[in-house]
Amino acid sequence: MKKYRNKSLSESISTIGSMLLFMLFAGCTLMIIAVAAGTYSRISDNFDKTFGASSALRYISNKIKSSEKAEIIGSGNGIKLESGNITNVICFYDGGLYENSMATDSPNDYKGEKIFELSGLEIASDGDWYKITVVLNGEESSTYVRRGDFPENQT
Amino acid sequence: MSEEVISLKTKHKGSRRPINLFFAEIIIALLFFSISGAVILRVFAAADEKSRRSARLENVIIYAQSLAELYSETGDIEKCAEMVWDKAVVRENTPEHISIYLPDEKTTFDAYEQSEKTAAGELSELKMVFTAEGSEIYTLTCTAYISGEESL
Amino acid sequence: MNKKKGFRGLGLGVGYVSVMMIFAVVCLTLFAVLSFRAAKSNDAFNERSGDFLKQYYEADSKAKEILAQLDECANSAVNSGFFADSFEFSAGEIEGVRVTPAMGGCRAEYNVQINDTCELAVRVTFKGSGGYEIGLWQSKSSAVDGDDSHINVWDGNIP
Repeated sequence: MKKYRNKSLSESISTIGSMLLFMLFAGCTLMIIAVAAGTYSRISDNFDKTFGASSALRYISNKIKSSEKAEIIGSGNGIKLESGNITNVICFYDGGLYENSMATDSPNDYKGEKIFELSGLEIASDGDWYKITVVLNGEESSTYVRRGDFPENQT
Repeated sequence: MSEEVISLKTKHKGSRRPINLFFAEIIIALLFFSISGAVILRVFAAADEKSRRSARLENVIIYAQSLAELYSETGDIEKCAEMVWDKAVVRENTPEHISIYLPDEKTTFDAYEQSEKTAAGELSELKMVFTAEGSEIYTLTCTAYISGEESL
Repeated sequence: MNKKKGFRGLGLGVGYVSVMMIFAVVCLTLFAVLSFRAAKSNDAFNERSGDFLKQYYEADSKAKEILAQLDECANSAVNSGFFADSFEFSAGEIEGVRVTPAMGGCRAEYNVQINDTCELAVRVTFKGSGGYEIGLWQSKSSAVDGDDSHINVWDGNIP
């Protein structure tokens, strides 16, 4: 009888120990999965951030480089670019960067298509350059681009 | 008597079998998990390294573009560096070479300048090298031409 | 007997750990692959824009070198006393440069290839009195007008 009691006690201790071991294993596994998910989300966020701010900067600067005439509009939250008979208006509005292409002489109030999500845009004239500053998620990045408004193109 | 002992032993063995199997399984699982975990960890490390490198490259490209645009008009790298980085630490500054620690304190910027006087002005070439953790991240070469009256 | 059954029914059966481990390995592999793909595409994107910037400034440097040569030509043309003729003759020898007479001087135009799809178009006016004025320094698509790159869409006429 005593033997049986001892046996059942050892069995229950063994079972509880195994359960604890299993729970430890399960806990560690879930923790590792959570860490992996966190790493993935960090890398993915970094990608989204990169695509937002620096791409917007490169996009605007490439547009300026490929235009014949550039003119800052509004209070510096947009730029009007003329190239041939096409006018491109790139401006910041309601949390996004919008672009509208139209024929130079056509009056158009349409704000255009949203191309990037942004928190802010500032284009300022600084000597021979335009200083473009983009704000996304509280982080500011800026770049300089040579002014495209050469004397010959000025009307 | 002996039959009773045998039957007890068998019963004893039979009741412990699932526990033993559980331990054996957990050991095999841990072994497999550690092997696959090592491989997965390497993939994660590579992804993380790529992501860091990419973030650094992205910043550096924006700096390089700004510097190139400024240098193309002025031909003066010191002035350009001042305009781009307000709080950069200058490591070395000679007429042909300027070395700067970028604000992130992990990236170094080296600029090598070569000037050639022509009959009408000065043509200068600037090679920008961005280095982080001992390896080169990005190199860009740009040129400035300052005509006679302005270069004087 | 009943007690024994009770222990066996506690959930310590064989297979739970394996299932848990397989789930974990699948999840980790998935996250690792997705992270690597995201990082790789981000890196490739930055690499491409870095390469484009290099190509742009290579073309910009070539354009500056041509500008320096043209300025040299203009300088010697001013000294010669016959600006237009002298400049047209010497600048015309530079490969890819087109010179046309302009008011008070000469206009030089040239294109420098950035890559297969774009080029840098430059237009500079050299004054007879010395000096120059850049009229155009623009990157543009190098697709030729009339290039067979249009899409054949229905013009609205029923055949």
